Amino acid sequence: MDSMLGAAPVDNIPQHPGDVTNLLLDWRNGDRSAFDRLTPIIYDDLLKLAKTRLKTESHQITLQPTDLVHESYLRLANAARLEVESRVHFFAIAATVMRRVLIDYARKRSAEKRGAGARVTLKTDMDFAQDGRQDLLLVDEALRKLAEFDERKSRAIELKFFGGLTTEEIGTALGISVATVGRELRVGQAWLRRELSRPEVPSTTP
Amino acid sequence: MKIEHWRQIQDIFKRALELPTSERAEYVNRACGDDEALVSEVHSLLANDTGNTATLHALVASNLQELTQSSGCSEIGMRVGPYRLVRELDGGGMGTVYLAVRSDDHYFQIVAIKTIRSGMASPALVQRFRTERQILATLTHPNIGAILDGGDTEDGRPYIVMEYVEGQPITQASDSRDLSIRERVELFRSVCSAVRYAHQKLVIHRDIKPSNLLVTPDGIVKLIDFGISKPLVPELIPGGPSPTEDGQRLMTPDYASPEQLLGHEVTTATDIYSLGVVLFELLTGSRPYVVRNLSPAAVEKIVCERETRKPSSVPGLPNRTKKTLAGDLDRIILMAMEKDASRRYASADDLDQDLLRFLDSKPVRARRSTSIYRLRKFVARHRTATLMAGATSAVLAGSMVFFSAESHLADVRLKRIQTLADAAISDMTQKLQQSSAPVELQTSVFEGTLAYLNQLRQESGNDPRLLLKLSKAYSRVGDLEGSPVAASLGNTQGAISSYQGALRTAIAARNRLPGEESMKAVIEAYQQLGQLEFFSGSLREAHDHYQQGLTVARELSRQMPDDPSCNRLLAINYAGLGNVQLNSLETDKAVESFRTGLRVLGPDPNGTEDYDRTLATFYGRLGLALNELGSNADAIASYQRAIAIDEGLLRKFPSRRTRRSLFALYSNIVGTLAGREVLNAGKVREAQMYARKSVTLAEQLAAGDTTNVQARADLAGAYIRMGDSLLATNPADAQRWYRKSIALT
Repeated sequence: MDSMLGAAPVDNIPQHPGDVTNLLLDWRNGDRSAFDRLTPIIYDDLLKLAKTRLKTESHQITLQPTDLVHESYLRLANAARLEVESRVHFFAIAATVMRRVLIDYARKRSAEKRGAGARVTLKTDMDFAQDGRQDLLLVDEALRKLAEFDERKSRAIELKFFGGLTTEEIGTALGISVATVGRELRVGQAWLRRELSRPEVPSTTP
Repeated sequence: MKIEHWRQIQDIFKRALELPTSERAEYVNRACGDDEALVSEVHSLLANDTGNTATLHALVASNLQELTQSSGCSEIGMRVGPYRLVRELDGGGMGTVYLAVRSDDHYFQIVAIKTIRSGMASPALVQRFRTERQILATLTHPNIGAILDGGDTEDGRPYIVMEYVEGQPITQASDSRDLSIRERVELFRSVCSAVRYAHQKLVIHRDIKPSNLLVTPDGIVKLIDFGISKPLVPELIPGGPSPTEDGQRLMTPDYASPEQLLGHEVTTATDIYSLGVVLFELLTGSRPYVVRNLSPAAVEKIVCERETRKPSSVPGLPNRTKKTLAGDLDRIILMAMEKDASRRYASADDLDQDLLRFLDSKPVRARRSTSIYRLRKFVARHRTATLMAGATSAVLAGSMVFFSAESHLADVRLKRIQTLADAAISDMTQKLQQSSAPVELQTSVFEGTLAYLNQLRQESGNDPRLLLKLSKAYSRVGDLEGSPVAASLGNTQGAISSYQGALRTAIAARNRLPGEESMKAVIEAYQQLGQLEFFSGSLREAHDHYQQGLTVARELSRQMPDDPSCNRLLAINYAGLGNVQLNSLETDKAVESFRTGLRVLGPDPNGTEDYDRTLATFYGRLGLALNELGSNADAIASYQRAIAIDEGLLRKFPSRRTRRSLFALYSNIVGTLAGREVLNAGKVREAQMYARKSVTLAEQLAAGDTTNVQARADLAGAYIRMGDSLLATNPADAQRWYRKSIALT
């Protein structure tokens, strides 16, 4: 059965791309449950895409979330039937889902490595890359904390970094002006940097 | 308090940023007064203002990179019993199949090991998995992938060790070996033999398809993956599922039988059907129908209703192949694929024997009457459509004669015209909309009807009553072409132009004969246009049309203040406008529109299904708008009203539609209750209560659903809501629900 795998492109295209289009329309139209139905579909697709990337594009050096999110959009949604806004909404959902995919993966890895020692604390210079997996869990935790008192900033950061949305797209997704997006990101990132650079003690903020 | 504090920090921080770096410290000290905590908060944020954002990008990218390189499979290299997992062969939703090696002093053996994905081992799944193992253990046949071993992993997941079948799907293998039709039939006979054997052991495979029929390099077919198989008599398998609890329908739509798609009882005849589909593809290189990219409803329609084409009629076949297929093989395949299970071959053996007869050039048993029988069935099913299509031409022809006779009195004539128009519109459009007539037929009937009505209109000198009828006809045609809320052909442009036709004629009617009826027609046409434009994303146009509709609806309501139907029309107009405003981010205006609509409609349910349903929708939409406005408490109150009304409706008039509406409401209210920053315990409990209701409802919907895809997605959504509602108080439980949701999809 694997003689077929080879360098074939992703062939397990979802069975009903029309569903995603309709769900996006439902969601735009206020049906919140559409969001919940979209999430697992996109989760599955992003994971599949991520997994197949290696097989087809091992030469690519840095894969960015945007690449997967856009590709997933093309695969899942009937772009012809959707307006720009729906596309942004898709990206926005995909950002959340991408975060979940990566966090699930990081958790899984860190669970496997459990016993190898306690969690590494970040250096103050934000040298994130030293142990990417665990750091991502810290970022996730920090974003969740931020969301507790300022959901919009947390979301803006999520959209930017996990979904690769542009400032304009973030504005559309959150229903705020581009200028506001800029300010939200600036304050949010400053808070995030500070949060991540402090030693691991319960935060007193706010 | 906390939020207030954060706002203060932010404000000072933002203002400081606008100043040159050298002036910031002084400004902060001044702005914070003697609040030292505030000073240090702002300073520490400022200290972290500059920094490399690329690092977070890089972090995400490096994680992503690692994920792609890991193949998502952390279990590679793991030991399972005496085997070592080498790589992933196939990953279904819940299970994974690995290539594994046994390499010790005694053996070197390559096997396939199937196990449940780590973290997804729910008791039901474990149960099911053991069933599969048990089933497989009873099957020993040269054409069935053998089970070699089994056990439990260290973390308690059952696994199955199976013969590793290295081969190609039967269709590809036959192509690459360039097998003739006769050779393909011979190869296929061993598939029949495997299926017959499984059936004799009281096992139905339920997912027979080429990728489960592998041909080894030695040319032997192996039927693999009994992953969704089920024992015919559950009691025979210890711990097997009872027939009723086996609600999950997993299958491959391309090869699934009508009864599988409809969720009816699955029998050995189901496998016979799939055998027919596989044989069709094996012999023609095409599938009997293409279902990829179609909605579940469309798939169901094709598989369950549309006549299967003859294999020999597949376009592009070489003449010789066509000749070989025509006749016996056509009949054999179509008999295996009968939509009515009782008309298929009674067993895989019967199918096998007929294939043997074909090979021996003996007369096959496949019913010769099949085609006549099918034709009869077709006519019966499409009687309405066929008759009506006939009627159109008859009426058209008749009208020519009719209008040439000048001796009729004008009013008699008009009456008869109206009668004809009525018959043409109501019968044809309504009946066709419910029937399963092919699209082409529907379209031609509609075009005929419209042309006919236009002609009547001219003949009648634009009689306003006839104009009104014509307007209705246009509007129904529009519905059928592209209604966003009912079954339609999905032709939005066509629908818009039909609705515009409806509007034009309604306005013409109103100019000639002002009054309730013509005003209503005008309002309805505006609303239909607005609704369709709204659904297709043209918000500005939708807004304009709802506004124009509103002007007329207000006027009508003023003229007839006590008429419930006029008020309802006005209210619905407000609802449409509110929807558009909500999506245009004019949230405050949307709230106003919904509230005004509610005032017009009256605030309380009156016990009639239609009215109460509209009312629940209103409160639901209002809740949504309020939530978006940030008025949480009001939003929750509005949702609660909607829920109370819908729950009442469900008790009195249980329907799928109400269940779905209620489900959306539960989801929304949980989102509002659980999705906000600070929760008090009361709200968490309330969120959990609604989340549980939503799970119960989704489970009911899943149990009674015919296509299942939507219902399963709803169920997955409900699980996510359960997770959301638990996230604040019990993250571990929340995670379990999230996983449950992922396992479902």
